[in-house]
Amino acid sequence: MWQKVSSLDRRWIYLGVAICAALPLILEFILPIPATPPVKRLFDTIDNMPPGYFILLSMDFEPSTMPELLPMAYAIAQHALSRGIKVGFMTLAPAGPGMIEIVLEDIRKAYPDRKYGEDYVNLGYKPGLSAVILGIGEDIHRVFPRDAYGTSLEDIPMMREIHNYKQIELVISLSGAGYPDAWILYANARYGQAVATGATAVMAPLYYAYLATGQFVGMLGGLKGAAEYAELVRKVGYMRIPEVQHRVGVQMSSQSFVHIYIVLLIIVGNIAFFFIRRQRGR
Amino acid sequence: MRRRGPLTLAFIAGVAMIIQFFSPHPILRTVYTEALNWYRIISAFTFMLGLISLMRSHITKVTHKRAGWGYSIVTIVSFIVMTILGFTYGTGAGTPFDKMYEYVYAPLGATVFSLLAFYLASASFRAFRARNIDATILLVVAIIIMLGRVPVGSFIRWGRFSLPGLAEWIMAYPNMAAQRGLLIGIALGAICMSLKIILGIERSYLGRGG
Repeated sequence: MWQKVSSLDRRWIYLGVAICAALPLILEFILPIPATPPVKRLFDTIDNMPPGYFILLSMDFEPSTMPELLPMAYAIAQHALSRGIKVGFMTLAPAGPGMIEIVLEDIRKAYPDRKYGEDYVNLGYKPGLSAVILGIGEDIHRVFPRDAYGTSLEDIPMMREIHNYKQIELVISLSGAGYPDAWILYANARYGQAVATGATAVMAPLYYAYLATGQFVGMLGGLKGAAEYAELVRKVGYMRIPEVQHRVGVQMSSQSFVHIYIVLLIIVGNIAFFFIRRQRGR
Repeated sequence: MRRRGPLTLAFIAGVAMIIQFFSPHPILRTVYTEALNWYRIISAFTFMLGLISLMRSHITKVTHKRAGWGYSIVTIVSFIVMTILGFTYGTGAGTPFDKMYEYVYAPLGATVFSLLAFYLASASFRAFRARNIDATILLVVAIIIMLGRVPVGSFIRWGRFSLPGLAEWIMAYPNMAAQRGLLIGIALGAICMSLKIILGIERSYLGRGG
């Protein structure tokens, strides 16, 4: 019998994953999500920032990691804009401009009181990773002479006073690849720029080393980090796109169920392994 | 000369960049900012190289009808369609290019990434075995992290201790120590490799004949 269990057809396993993932999404089931210290640190940094300050939200990701990272962009953008902090959107990922557009489409609807060019700006994509990050330290106007829509940065009111990292209070890199490392190496180490990150759950463990040294002022790890941040934003009453927060909450429940299912699979697999080994020993 | 030229160029560029890092001299600042501009321009050209290489590889696959050539047709057609849409209507919000990105490319990308969950579940069931002490430690830590990093984990508590707290401690201390070791190793390796390139010891970037 244990041999049968051990060689269970993978299609049954896949079916289990599909059910565990789909059920909470269908039932819209939300579990409480308490904030962890790295998330709280980033939230507090933005929450204690005076209105009028400028932050750079670098959406260094593409559609493959969108489910984890896009909710982070929504939550951070809403937090900052609600507090009157100016946000510069940019990306170092070639397919990243579309991600910015998705967020901005909803931001425009949810924040009619915030004006493009005065409260937020879309700088778009520039190739050259390290050269872009280092270039911003010298003069952002040389790296991005125009915004994503072709307007000269000189003609964008909020960018007239922003020239380099001295005027940028915080850089947040959302990524599922090595982009946050590059921001640490070239913006933090070279120019002393405060940097934070939102990383996929797979990448987050790597960045605890930078969190411990204070090089990252905070971090959102995976969908859970996004859900925790969204919950903090909701609690202080800054959530103007509630469907995003609701969706993240439901997705976290889905992830909970799948994790429990995988843990059960591991336990069952190991029980089968021990019984088979004992039978072979005899 | 074919070999000496690039080696000399790499040496001069490498040494110039090291010197400018330690000097605020205006000439060196200008050299630095110009070098950054050149870097960005060259990066943009590498996209052209990538696109040509991608198309050549897929066209060859289709013409020789190699395994999976049908997928290559999809790649070529997708590339042509997106290029035509982008050049004809632009890439701004609301354009056909933007719609294709948001409603075709984005869901496809997310779907492919999501498939990992299925493979992960199957692989965990088959490969995660407590064969020895090391594997057992890995197994226990994996279970703590898996449950501690989802909301349901916050229901598991023993007095002052909670599963998310334990998971966070593992991430912030044992994990961080291991990651730090890796990062220091990678950084030392990168410094060594850079010095070898500047000094002309490492020549693999020259390609054949280097």
